[in-house]
Amino acid sequence: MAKPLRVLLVEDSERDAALFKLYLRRGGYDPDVHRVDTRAELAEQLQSGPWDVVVSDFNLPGFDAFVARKALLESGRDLPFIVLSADFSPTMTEQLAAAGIRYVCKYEIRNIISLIDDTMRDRS
Amino acid sequence: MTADPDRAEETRELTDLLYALTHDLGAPLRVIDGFSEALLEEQQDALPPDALEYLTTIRGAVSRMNGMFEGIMQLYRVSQAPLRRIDVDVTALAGSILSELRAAEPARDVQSAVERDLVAKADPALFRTALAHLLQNAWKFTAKRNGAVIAVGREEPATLFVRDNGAGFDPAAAGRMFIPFQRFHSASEYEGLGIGLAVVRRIVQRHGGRVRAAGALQQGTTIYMELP
Repeated sequence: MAKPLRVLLVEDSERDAALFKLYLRRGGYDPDVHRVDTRAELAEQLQSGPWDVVVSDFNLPGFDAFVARKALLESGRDLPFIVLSADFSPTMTEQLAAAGIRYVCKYEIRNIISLIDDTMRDRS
Repeated sequence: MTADPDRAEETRELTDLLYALTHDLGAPLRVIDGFSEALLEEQQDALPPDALEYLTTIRGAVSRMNGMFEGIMQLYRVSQAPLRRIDVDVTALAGSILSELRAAEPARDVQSAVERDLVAKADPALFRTALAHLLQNAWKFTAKRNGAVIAVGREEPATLFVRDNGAGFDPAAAGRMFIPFQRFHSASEYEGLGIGLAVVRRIVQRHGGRVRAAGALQQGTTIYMELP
């Protein structure tokens, strides 16, 4: 039985969004993924949307995952935040680790399923 | 790597280019990987045998390319990772890596001889990666050998080696062994991508050292790491 999962996806590539949905579905979820790629849309969706988790690319047009997480913190919502990025430079991964942000590399996108499984289990 | 500023700049540009290419070629590859896997697993009953065979061929190629990407990413990561040198207990580390290899393939009969009190002044994470590649290679290339022996030791104060009595290599090819994706055995004989020694060389270079190989066909291989 597929588990429903409502994801706010901060991602500028439609192709990567489709791929993310595919892996969620194959990982046992019935995903409802809403994609945003501007800060305004992100802020708006954080106001009202019924999300279980926020997943964000690292490099976005005009902003990055740190800005996205700041928006999440400012919204006052208590939602898990995961970065899913094709960037694999040690500089970026260290910055994320230092900020306590969980990260999955898009080349290892299969790993996002177990991370989301763990995250959702911890919260329930 | 070099004191010449032009060469250093050139190396940096090439590294940036490698990164950009990997990043941009990776996006379509991930899509082909994800959707071809879904197609194979979810629709295989609906596909005629020919189509299934084509798709399986595509999956094989994608999987090989994914392996190459992992190799390139690893090379990039070891090139960029911060370097923090401390005293690394090489004897203990080699013992632990060899135990992992034994645990993964308990049927293999491999003797190991690790010298006592081996220490390297190195970055612990990077050094572990290098030593693991060398021991994995030694393990792999002794697979067809009766009485396989893997030795880890020190030749001069600052030169460590990993030696095996496995398949060896043609000494004429010694210079190319550390270049990424160079392979000296057919894939059907020994699996692999040819990235391990390139990673080892990169790690040793980052410590200001050098690597070299000694051996001959069917006479085993010794890889030396000079870590100043």
